[in-house]
Amino acid sequence: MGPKIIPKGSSFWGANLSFDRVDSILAAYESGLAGAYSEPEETAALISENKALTGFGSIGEAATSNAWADSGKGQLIFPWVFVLEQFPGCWPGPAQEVGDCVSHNQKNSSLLSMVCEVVAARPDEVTQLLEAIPHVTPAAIEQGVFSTEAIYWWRRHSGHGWSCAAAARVMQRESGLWVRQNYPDLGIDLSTYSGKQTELFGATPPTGKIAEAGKSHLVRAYAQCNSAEERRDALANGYGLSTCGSESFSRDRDANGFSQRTREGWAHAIADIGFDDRPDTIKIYGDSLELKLNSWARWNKGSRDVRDSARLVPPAKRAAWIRCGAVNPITGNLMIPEGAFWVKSRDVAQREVFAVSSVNGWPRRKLLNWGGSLAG
Amino acid sequence: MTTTNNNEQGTPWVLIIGGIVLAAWLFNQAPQPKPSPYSKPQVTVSASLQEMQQVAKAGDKTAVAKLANLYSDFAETLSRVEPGSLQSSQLRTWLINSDTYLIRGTNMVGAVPGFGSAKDKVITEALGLDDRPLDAKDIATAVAACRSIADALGAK
Repeated sequence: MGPKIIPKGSSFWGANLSFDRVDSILAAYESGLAGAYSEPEETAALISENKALTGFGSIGEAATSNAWADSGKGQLIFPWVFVLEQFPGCWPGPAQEVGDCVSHNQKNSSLLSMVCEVVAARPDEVTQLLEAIPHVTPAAIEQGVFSTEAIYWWRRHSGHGWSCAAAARVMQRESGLWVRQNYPDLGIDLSTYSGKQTELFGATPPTGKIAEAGKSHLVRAYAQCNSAEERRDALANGYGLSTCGSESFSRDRDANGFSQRTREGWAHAIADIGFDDRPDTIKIYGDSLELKLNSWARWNKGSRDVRDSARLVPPAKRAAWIRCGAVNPITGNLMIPEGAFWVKSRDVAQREVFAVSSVNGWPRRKLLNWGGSLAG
Repeated sequence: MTTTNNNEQGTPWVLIIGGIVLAAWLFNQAPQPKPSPYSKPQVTVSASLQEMQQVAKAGDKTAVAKLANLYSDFAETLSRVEPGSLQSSQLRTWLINSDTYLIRGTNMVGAVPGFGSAKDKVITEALGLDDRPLDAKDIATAVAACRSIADALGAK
């Protein structure tokens, strides 16, 4: 069975949409805001373009070909920790102010892939160069590290909502990652997230210098995930997942950070940043769990502790991971980010999911020298 | 009977061997001093230190002594830095600032020709030029490099 997402145009929300509180975001999604919808022709194009580019249309094909199928089997997969380690406090990021969940989801999944690529010292797929974590200001980290507006400007309509496949094609060809900062030479300031700023461009995407700048840090490739096993293995190998679907979930997490699926339904995009395939987790919940990162800031509550995970924290990393909020100093367990929650794999089986393979990142910075001396 | 005789004769040896094994096991269980990340710095700076020694010989003696103190103090300060909390570029800024505060406006300016270049060579040999967070090994290496510079300048 293919992905089940509402089709484009079924609930179109025009401009002048503005959320000021989490309750208003929830109310909009629960009354039919189509933040994410399906565009089968965009999905088909994305898959065929990537099949031609990399040889893989799906993560299953990539995993089999590269001998990492089942590499995440039976494990707790926690790549989100590496993002928090590099950019403490970057998640959940600012709450979306308009129906731009797809661009938040694209940014978050790409951020995870970019960080894992650097941390794992995996050379860029095209340049074969090792890359570095970009230097960003603390204010940029607090605002989510990268801009979402500069992705959303390419949605090619003046209202709100988008599809994961169309957004992925934009990130691969037109507008990739933009560090949150002022771009005075382009006449745009992306330092702080703003729903209003998403409306700078819509029906007609940017041209000229902004369009050129958009191509600086494009996503290298995407591959579709067609099963929980493919999602698990993609995350186990450091590939963030962009997902679009129609499921909704409780605002209350249980003692293990898990949220029940609810009846209301949201046409919504939410990135996947972790996976729990441990046998005892499956025994408790009757299924493996997937970690969703929402774009509504601190919208939910409850425990963020990852059950029985203290022993997975390397002793040498414990202090640093406590400092960046990835480990609970009292229990010693890993913690999921604010705004995130675990869901059962079967509850998200019908979402459309794309793994972000790699980003044309930032070169490793070298010092020119050690500064010399005034003494001579 | 044979079994009983063997037991009677073998018992003391069994006890002695058992005692040795137990003692060895207990010794291994005793808390061992934790290795300090700074106890065995992995650094080889001898090649570039020769250049530093020549620079020191040719330079103004008072200025050389002050620079020796500066790098000795630097090593001490660095040894208290928490691994992961300092980036290479920040260390570079520290070095530049301390050099500036010590020397600018004094007669030390230009008093030790070749010192800046020789010092850079020692640190580059030790840490490289990659801008990265310095882990425990990097910091130990940086401490050793600064101590080596101080020693080459004749620190006491």
